Amino acid sequence: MEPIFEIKGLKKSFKDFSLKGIDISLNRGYIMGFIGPNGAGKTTTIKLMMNLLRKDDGEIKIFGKDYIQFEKEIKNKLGFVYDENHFYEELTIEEMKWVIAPFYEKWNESLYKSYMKDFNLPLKKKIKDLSRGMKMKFSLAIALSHDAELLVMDEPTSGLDPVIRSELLEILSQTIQDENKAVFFSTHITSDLDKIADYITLIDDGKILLDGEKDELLDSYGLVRGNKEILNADINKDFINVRENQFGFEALVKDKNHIKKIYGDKIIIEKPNIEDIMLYYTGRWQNAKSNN
Amino acid sequence: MLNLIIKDILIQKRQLTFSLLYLGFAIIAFQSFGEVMFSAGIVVFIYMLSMTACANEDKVKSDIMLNSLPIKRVNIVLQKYISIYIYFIMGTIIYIVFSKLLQFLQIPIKTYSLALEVFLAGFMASSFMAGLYFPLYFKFGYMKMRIVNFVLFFLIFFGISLLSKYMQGSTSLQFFYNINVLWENNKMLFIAAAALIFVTLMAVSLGLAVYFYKKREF
Repeated sequence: MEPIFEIKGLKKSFKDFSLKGIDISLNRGYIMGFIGPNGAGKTTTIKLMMNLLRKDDGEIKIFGKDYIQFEKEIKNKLGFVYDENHFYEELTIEEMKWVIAPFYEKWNESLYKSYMKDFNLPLKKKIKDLSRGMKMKFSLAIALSHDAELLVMDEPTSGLDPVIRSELLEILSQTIQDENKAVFFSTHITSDLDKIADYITLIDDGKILLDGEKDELLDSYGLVRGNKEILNADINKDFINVRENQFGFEALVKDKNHIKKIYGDKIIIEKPNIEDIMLYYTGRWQNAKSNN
Repeated sequence: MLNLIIKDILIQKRQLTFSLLYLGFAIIAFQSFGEVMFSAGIVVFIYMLSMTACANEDKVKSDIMLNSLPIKRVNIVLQKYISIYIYFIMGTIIYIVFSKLLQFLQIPIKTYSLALEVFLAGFMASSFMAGLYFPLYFKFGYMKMRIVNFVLFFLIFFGISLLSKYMQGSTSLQFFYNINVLWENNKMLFIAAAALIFVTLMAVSLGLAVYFYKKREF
């Protein structure tokens, strides 16, 4: 099956940061969580996909087509939600919809109205008077009302309270029931992905460190604890990162069964969550924890 | 396209009311300008509306949203140019209505009916202001161009004021004299030449604005 989008060798350089030739692809019917600490390259990647930044090198294909050559056609079938909304603050929800809707060939007004009702959004209220959660819901309603096949979301849950975050995740789960659709969801709040993501792609410092099916990753990776005495060059090769403290060490391993076979009862192995995997891979325990 | 044009009016409802009132006020304030009060008034009117629209776009970084929608960048640029002429039509109608109202109420304020030369001067001045500003705006955005647009506005406004002094005989610039001679000698040729220069300049301006905006990153 042809991926719904495919990125190959994508490069982009700025003065102080560069995307170093990344590859990502996603098939229809799945949600991919695009994770990484702040400044890792998530927004840059999404802006490149949306042609808001110009790539230095590489290839981006969405719906099997070149993202620049078929830009208008692609964007007709693509919904977007960003961490900040860029709607005009002086306009009401209804006026803003009136500006946006005519651009989409397949705008579905009755679907839009049903989202407005479900989300409890006041049509006559100005954008500037909406809460952050309401603005995000409005963005989502727009993204879902034109029969979009791919939803691209850049930190949509950032700054939202847990109730609204949970509502958003529920809506995304429902959206993906249609196997023709896919969601590409960037976040540094990895707990969102525990619930809904099928695939995880981890980026840091402009490089993809890890990608794969979420459940497989969580099943094969292990969080290992033990005494510092067993640490040596051999075992360290199997560890992705080691944290030592006065009581012993803690490390992430890619193949927990392999480690268990070798060290047996000398170590304790626990199941990691996505956040553990991200923190060990990036080695940024402090930064990432404080962002949540 | 139409929704983008109306959007520019909707995002500055308050400014629009203020600008319309201003145009009425300009008739009184620009008494010393004589006939060219229309040209001066309309330039300020268009300046206020187009700058407010650009400032409001910049405030919410709307380029990110607009360029994520299925819109061609060329249409976003074209809309800003078309809006100038929509404001021009609005301003002209308001000017005529205000002048007629003042005449009808027999208020002792001098008003001038809209002569073709004055109408064209306003049209050209507004177009040149937009034509010079927009390529820079689409390359650098509103914030970086604040000083430039301020300088540009005063240059155009100063030019009109000079024109008014010439028309009232208080100055005798060779440039205006030459233009006048050309106009008197062959009106058709003058109009054709002016139109050609105007269309060329505006086409170059639009071409540059589109070129810059297509290369812009957000």
